[in-house]
Amino acid sequence: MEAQVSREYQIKAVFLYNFAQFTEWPESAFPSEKSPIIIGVMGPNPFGSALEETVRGETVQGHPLAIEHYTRAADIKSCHILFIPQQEIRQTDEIVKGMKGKPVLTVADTDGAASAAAIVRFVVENNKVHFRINPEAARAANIILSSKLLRMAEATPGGGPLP
Amino acid sequence: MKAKRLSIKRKIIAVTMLTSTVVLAVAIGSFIAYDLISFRESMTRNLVAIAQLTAENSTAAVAFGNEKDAADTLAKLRLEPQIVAAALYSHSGKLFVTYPTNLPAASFPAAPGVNGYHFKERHLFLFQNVTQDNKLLGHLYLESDLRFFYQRVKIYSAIAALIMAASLTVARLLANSLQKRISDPIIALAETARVVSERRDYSVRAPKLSPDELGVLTDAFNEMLTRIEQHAITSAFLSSIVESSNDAIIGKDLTGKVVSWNAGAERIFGYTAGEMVGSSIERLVAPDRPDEERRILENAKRGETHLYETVRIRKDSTPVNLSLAVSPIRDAHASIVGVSSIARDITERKLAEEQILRLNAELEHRVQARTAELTAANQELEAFTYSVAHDLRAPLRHIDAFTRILQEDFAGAFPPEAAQLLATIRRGSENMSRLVNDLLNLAHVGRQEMKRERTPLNAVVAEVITEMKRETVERDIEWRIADLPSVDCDPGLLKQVFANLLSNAVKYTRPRQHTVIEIGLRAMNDETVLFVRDNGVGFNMKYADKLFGVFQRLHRAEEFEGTGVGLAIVERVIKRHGGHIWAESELDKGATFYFTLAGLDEPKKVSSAHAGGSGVPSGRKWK
Repeated sequence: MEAQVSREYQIKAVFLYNFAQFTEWPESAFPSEKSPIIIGVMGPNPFGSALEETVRGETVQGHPLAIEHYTRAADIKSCHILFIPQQEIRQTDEIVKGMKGKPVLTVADTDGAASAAAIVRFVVENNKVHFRINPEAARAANIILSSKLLRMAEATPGGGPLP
Repeated sequence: MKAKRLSIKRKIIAVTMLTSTVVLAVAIGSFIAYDLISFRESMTRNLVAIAQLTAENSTAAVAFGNEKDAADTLAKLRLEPQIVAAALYSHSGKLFVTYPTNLPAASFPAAPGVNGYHFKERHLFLFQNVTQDNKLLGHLYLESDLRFFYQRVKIYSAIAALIMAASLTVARLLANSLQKRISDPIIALAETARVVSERRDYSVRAPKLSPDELGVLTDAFNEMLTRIEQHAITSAFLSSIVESSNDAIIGKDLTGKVVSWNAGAERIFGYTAGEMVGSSIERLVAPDRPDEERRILENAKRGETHLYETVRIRKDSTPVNLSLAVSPIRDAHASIVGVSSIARDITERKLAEEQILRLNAELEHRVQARTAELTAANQELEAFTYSVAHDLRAPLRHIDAFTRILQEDFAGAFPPEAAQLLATIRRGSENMSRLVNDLLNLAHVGRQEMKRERTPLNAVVAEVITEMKRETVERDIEWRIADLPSVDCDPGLLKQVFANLLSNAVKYTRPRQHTVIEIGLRAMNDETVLFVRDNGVGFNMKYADKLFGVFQRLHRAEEFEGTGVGLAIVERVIKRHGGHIWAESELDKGATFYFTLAGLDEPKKVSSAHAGGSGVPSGRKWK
């Protein structure tokens, strides 16, 4: 297995789980009430086992949590949260387009022009992890984000929706 | 003790004020307590709501560990000034954000407590879990002071004090004016009672000021005074009667202790009231009658009233004869509480009685002696009469016999004048012989042994009438004879009765052309009486008591012959038969002789026995 996972990705794994708690998907996103919320990870896995450990045994609004890994954009199936790590950040536009408006909360590992199409973008400042939110993208993906999440994103220093 | 000395006015005011104060205090206290409890509850509910809202708002901040967002959320608590401190703790219990931010971390609990609130040191402390979708994310801590609560308490206290002051002022004014209605009649009553007890004047009356219970009390009190007044008068009367009585009137309790002792008792026994009241009545008891007083008490205790004649000992040790009336004294409930003795000195009466007894005995003795003397003299006299009469018969017979010989054998030898004298001698000797026979008969009636047999009176009457035929043959006599009963008697003696009575009737009717002689039976004064009635010359009732004496004659011998012994014989016979005889008459209007016989008073029994026995049909009933 991989060596020690950095503290940053441990926090990001918890944040991914937290996003699930503050997000509402349309009912059509789940085949049944017990269907899992699937967190997909595109490309190389930066979390090691941290993400599995975070979600293991947890449920959100009755849904268990599951993790899937994709090597190519074409492999992406019906996931609910898709994490795009730093190595794949340049493909963000392409991946988001490939979703064709599917209700998937796209989370980019870093903030920048390349990742502007993602709904949530992590920011690391002063050794602390924050995030920013693109409400337009969320609306386009037919996903409702909790106002608390939005407020939190706005509270992020230097944050705010991009123009 | 102090409360007792307060006047009724002050007591009423005090009671009124105390009652008003307590009622007001309880009312205001309950109201305030109720309000403060609800206020505290609503305050707590409010704080819980604030906590829940704040926790809800801080879920994301806690979940994402965002201090700034969390601090912003807590900063909104400044709108609630009573919240003096707040904090958020992470899921793991680490202090995360505080409010206000300048407060040192040491003034917050090091670790979060259990969900809930508690009051401590005039503060309200509260922990609220921060959860998202039932998942525990962290903890919220709130601390609120109770400033509003104490503000409210202060305001209420001030209002309560004002209300109390105002109400009590009004109550005091009302009590002052209203208490008069209660206290005035009581004071009037008390004043009357004071006058009564100080002056012993039962003629005063309390004024009636109200028609309520106090009015009833006043009426009852006045009524009681009236009774006491009457009672005092009666009591004065009674005690003056008791004091003026010559008898000793003594009151004792049930143990025999003297309670009252009147002047009469002082006179009779020589002890003063001061000496006797309180000491036992046994002091007076004679040594030879030790149990008497105890028995007298026992009788009285049983409710019995008795009269006794007894002896008591005076103070000077002399005995006194007493007549004692001892009766129980009862109280208003009829239970016996004492004994009253009324004693009369009967020493003199006793002496008089003894004297009378002695005199009576003496008199009796004398009467007996005199009676014996008289009886002896009577017997002597009767014996003398009898022997004289007896002895006179022989010489009389000689006189009669020789005179008759002279008349018959020497009729021609005497000149007519001498023959006349001889006839007179013979009439005289015949008269004398009849008299002697009658006297002997009278004596005989007194001495003769009586034989008794059932004798039908009609038969006796018929026999007598037949024997009188010689004297009646030339007369016009109408006999009216009733149905007479049979009587137990001596038939010979009873025949003498009828013979005398009927011959008298025939004799004294001689002047009548037509003679009616009636023999009958009638009821008089509850007695059955036989009577013989004639229509003869009668007699003057003035001499009625002399009729039955020996030698008593109401008519001259020249007019109607007779010896004056016949009715004496009749009376003696009737007396011997247990009856009595009397006569009624009027001069020239006839005479009736009534007599009774023992055994004549059951006419019906006699009649039916006779009727049944003889087969003679019962005739006319006598009335």
